[in-house]
Amino acid sequence: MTVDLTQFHDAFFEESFEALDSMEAALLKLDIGAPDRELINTIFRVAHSIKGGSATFGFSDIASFTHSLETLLDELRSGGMAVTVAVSDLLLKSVDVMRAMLRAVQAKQPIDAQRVSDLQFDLEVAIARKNETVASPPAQAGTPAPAQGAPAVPGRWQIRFRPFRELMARGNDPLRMLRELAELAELHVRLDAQDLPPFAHISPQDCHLAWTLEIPGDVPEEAIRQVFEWAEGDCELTIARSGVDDDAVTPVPSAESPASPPAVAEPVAAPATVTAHPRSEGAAKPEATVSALGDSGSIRVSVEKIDELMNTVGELVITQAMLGQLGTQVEGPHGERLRAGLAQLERNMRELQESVMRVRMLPISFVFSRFPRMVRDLAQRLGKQIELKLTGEQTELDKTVLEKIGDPLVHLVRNSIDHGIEAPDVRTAAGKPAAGTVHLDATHRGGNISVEVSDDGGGLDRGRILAKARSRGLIGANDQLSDAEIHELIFLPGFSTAEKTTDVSGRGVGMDVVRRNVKELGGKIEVASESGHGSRFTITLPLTLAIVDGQSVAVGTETYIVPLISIVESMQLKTSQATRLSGQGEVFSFRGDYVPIIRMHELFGVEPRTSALHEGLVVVAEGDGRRVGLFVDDLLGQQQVVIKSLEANYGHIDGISGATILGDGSVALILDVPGLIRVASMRAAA
Amino acid sequence: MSNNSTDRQQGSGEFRQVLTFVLGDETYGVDILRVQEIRGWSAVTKIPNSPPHVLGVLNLRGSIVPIVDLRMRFALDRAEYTAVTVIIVMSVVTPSGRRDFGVVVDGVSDVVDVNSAEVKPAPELGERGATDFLFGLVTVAERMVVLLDIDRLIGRDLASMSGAAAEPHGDGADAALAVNAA
Repeated sequence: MTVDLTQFHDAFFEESFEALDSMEAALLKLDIGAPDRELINTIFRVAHSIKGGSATFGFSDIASFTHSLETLLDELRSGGMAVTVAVSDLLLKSVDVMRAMLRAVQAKQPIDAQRVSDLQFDLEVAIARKNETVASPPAQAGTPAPAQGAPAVPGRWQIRFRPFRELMARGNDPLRMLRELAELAELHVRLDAQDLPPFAHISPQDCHLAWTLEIPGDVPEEAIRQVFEWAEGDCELTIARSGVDDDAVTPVPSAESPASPPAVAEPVAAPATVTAHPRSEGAAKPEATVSALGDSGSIRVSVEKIDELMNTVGELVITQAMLGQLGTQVEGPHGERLRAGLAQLERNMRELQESVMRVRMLPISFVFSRFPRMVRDLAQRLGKQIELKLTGEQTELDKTVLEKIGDPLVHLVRNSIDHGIEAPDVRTAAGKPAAGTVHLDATHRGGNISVEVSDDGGGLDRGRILAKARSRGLIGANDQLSDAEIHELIFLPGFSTAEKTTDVSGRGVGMDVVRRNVKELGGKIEVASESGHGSRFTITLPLTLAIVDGQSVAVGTETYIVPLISIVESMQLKTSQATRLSGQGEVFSFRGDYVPIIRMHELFGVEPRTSALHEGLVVVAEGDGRRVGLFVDDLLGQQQVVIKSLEANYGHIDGISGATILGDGSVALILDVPGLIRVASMRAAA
Repeated sequence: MSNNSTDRQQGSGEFRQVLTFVLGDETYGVDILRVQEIRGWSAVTKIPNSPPHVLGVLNLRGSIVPIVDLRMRFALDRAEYTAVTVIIVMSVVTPSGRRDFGVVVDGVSDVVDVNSAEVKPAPELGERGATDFLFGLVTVAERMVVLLDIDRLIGRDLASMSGAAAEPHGDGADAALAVNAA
């Protein structure tokens, strides 16, 4: 269950470039001699987050470079080193180099390794010489750093290891790291407990301690770093040599820096170019070709602004539709040209609307990305082996839908793991691979997105669901239920088949909440299950909450919009196909089922054009797993309508989900099929 | 709002602009600051199961606005809606925020300055609660103008509607159904 991290690269680059800009700005504000601590902290944070990000994505060159930079910055932060012109220049140069590296990685081009290693060398020299004034001539002139694994170097490694509080929660154990270090060589440990809170406030899950460690200098730096490899990003770590003469320079990747003086001198010469063109890419080089790609980037816009834009576009669509209708009534040659222009306008409007909608669209990977970690943790806790498969992560949907789909999906995935996938031994006994598979898939279907959570577990347990429903009195002791009806049971409030309530699932707040959330989004959820082979939950959602695909129907003089997602079929009935059950209302036969008929004009108190079944039409619609036939006068046409709230100025109406404005400027109500069914059955019962 | 009504009743001598309109034989007035716009009559979309005086909803530059027939609200004789029938769009302040709605009136008369000191409280007319949506009465140019407290008059109606929204299975919906069936 590996996650494809490349999908986050763009965001990482975008953030990193922004961060570098702010780092540069902060550096330029930095006063030589009397630096503002807050500025240094800002700069440090930038370097730290770029380091963390690049390490996560495996850009080891950037990570390694930023690490050196961070070490230097830490010295500045702690006051161990003064901010001099040379240092500030060095830092600005580092910004340029990091930017160049990021550009290169982004464009999948080789990094200018020479430039990077030169600067990294300079940085490490500066760190090693922190107690000297930079002005003094470099002491190590002519002694290029030995390659790694060189014979014993005198001096000692000073390691400062300050874990962040949540280090242990990330699965790191500082004690284990210290032991590992002690195995490398003789280790001196000094504990720093100054951050330890009063006993009453200690949380055993947090790490409050820090250590200063000393280990002989002949231990390769690589080995030390390896110990802390997993804690990177979860702690402040500085590894530096100390207590030696300046000859002992930290090993540097570059073996051939002919003479150090130019390396140190260069930064002094550099400031003019760096500060004068803080945004320049430096040289022509490969970067120039990259910049076009790198700068295209993105801007962040608040959601309100986009919503405003959406509203305005919605208004435009309505106005355009009004004009379109007017245009059909204009006679003569002008009318012809007017209609041509209006047709063009309509095309442009549609494109505009789609573009604006796309602005709000985000890939579903934003939701999916939380699952690998969750599944891993759950599987461990439950002692199950689970492979998570994610497909269709690039499927895009509206931000508001995206935000609300997360929780239902979490519930479904938890259920699959907890109830669906069997323990490994059960699985092997059943001839299945020990590791179960949970598959999350997202696809576009028409104007909808469908998200599937499927597993290859035991499927829904009919017997247990039935027994539970009987014990709860939800069904009679001898009721025979179809599979569909049994599946329906799990969506009842308070229904949970988990034999014992676990903290994973089984609190009985699961499926009914899932369904409610999905319904609130105007979607539906379906279940398919095969005993012994697994179950599949399919959530179908509209791509956006702002627009719905609707079928307009006429009832008398009124027009209503039925969301297409609820419509199964529309048909004309013969009078003989419908029967009136005694006191129960009318039903008709549809695909082997008897489906009740709701006469819309009766329900809404409208004067119909016809009340004879064979003269009107029946729209078979589905809601809450129930089907009804909506009897209407006529079908008018299908269209995308912009949903307007009725509740803003009026209130909720049962059976109505909202309103929209038609091409002629009049208002049409949008039907809420599940609500209609409820109202109708209440009416029938009354 | 209630502050306004106190001002008027205690007679601070403050002048307010009031839009007056005619309904049957009476002249009514509302605070002009509450008036959003005045527009001609156009056909409304009926809202199922709504109180009888809520005629339906209209599109007011993109937002959906309910239209109330004040004649029906005041149990006056119904009048035909014609091209000269006027809708005054106003806003009320309810606990859940500002809401816009339109009222159908026979005709708009004038904008007059009303000195709050001259506003007399409406007499109790026996039926309890029937007059609490009135600020009071004032005489302008020898005509008696009934000043309406639209927050009370309409805001309460709207509030009861959203109350039904909170409990769709509750009595509110049943009551609405009963009204419609009646």
